[in-house]
Amino acid sequence: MSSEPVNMDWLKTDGLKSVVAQRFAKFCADDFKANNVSEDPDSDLYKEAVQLILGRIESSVSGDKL
Amino acid sequence: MIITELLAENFRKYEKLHLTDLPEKGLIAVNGSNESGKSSLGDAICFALFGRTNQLTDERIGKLVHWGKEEAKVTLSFRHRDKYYRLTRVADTEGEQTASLWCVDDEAALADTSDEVTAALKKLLGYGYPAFIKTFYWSQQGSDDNRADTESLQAMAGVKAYIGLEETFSTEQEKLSTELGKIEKDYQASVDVRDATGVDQDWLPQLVEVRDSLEVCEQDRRGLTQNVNQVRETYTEKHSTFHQLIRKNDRLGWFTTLGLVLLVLALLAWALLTFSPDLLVSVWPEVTQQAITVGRGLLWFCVVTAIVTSILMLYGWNLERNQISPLYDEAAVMSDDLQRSADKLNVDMNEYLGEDTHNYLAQSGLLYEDDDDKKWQSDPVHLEDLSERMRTYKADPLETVAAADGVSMALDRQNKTLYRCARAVDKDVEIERARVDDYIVLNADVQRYQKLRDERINGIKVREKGRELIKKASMHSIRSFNRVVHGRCQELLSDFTQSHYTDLEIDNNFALKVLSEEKGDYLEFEEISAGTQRQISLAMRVSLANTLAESTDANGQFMFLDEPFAFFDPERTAATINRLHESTAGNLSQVWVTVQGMPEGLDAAFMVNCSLENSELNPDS
Repeated sequence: MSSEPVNMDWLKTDGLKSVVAQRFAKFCADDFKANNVSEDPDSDLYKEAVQLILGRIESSVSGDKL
Repeated sequence: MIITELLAENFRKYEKLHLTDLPEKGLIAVNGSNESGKSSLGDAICFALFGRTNQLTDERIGKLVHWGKEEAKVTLSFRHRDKYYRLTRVADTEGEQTASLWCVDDEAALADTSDEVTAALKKLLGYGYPAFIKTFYWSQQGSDDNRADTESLQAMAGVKAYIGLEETFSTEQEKLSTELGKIEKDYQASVDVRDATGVDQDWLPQLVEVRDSLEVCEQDRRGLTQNVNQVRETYTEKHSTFHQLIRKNDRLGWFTTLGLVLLVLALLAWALLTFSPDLLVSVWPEVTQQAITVGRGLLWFCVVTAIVTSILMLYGWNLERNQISPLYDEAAVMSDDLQRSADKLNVDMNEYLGEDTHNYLAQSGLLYEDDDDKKWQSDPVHLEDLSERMRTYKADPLETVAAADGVSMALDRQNKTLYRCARAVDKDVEIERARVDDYIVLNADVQRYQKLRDERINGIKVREKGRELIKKASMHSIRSFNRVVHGRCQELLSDFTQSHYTDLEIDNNFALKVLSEEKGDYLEFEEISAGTQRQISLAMRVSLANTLAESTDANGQFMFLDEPFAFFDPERTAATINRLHESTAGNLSQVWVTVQGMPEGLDAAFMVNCSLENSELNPDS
């Protein structure tokens, strides 16, 4: 198993406002590292899906209530 | 965080609201009928802390200002851990806010602007608005909506957003699939139309290359023709000049030789008369002094002869170098031009045009039978000999002109063929270019559909992956939630529901289930009555509030419950009140409860009575 640090620059959590988005981002960060997604050929798809979900949660007006 | 004093001016229905000496432990009951301003107390607390309420966000916060007034002001005094603070927030009718936070014990300003206050409170309390509103603030949300409590519990478990998103993604996937089907058809149709043009994209560059090679050959032939014409026009003149100069040079050579002979003879005579006169006298006694004088005169003759001969030699050298030698160079150039032109004419057409160009011209019927004949040059050996003689101007001008005429005419004929072919290929290029332009337009359509198709395919894949992630994240949240409920909430749940229900969990399909003690099995949350749903939801909220209050180590925490007993019968209300009262002994030490009419058994540490008529509320006064 590779011991190199996983690059997580693509997942920016600083600007996330809603708690749900922050929690989801944390889950994805853990999942990404735990499952070595960076070595998966579909890793771009994974990142795109994460960004889409975070964007939807953040853009939801009642995101904090979700 | 425990509230010790609340002062609001021009806030909602209140011109002035002032609650002082609030107890740090126990229930604070706010009693009143509909529209009496009970909920405004919760709004005032929420506004003071976070600059917004459950219903009004930043943009609409001006609606909180009392009718006819310019601004609303709320001052909240509170204790957090062992220190006392005073928080003031003001909003005008435009929604502009100012705020300040003051530490009473330290007599120090902690923040002077709305943003600074938000940041300072987050740091101080350990939570912001989102956590507050989901944990320490309860309103009678959606009382006419049967799903409100279910959604509230799903939100507590952190899966409500996921459920909504999963459904949205699923719908979007279906929509994208439908669009993809239509786009696929349009895409295939556009491909068929494009391919029907039969355009080979490599063909136009090849055709342009054919045309260019024809133009290069044509220009080359034109240059050669000019050179040959130049030969024809200048050779005769140069030939005449050359021979005149040669004759002149021959005469100079003759005179120079004569001068040298005379010089030698005169020198010998002078030497005899000057250096051996005795020898001369012994041979010829009559030689007198006159002869010696003649000898001296010979010296002058030698000098003059030497000067003249030198001038002649110099003149001859100059003639050779500056006039005759350049003519030789020019003759070499003319000879080379003629020979090179003739050599080019002797090359086969498919060689100098290239095989592709020649084949294209032949296949297109642009070449005639006599285009490549070489009848002009019946004796190539003769031309070679002529060219060699031209280098020394030994070739006859008439013969040279005739040969140059022949080469020039042949070049001209080749030029005409090349020009004719180039113009024909020009037309072919023009036609092919128009076809390629059509192809480009049609191909742009194909690419546009391809892009749309790829976007849809990617969109479907992303949403598929998104649903997969949502599912995983949901399972993760559900496991955490169920763990918390099993570990920390069962007792509270049992107390709130008078031991009817003792456990709650969310299954993998996001369905809420409660464990009924009577039936010994889990029931669907929506199967049970609205009142019980509300009890369970309230129990979970109190439990989560306890957990958060404990984790923030606040040494006491307030909670605001807006009409929590709305669906409860007297028995349930009493049970819930008892349990809430017991809760105030722990971390959740100050619990605000709004009610419509004081329930039996409510042992409040502080009472606030609101009425429809009063715009001022000050229990002490």
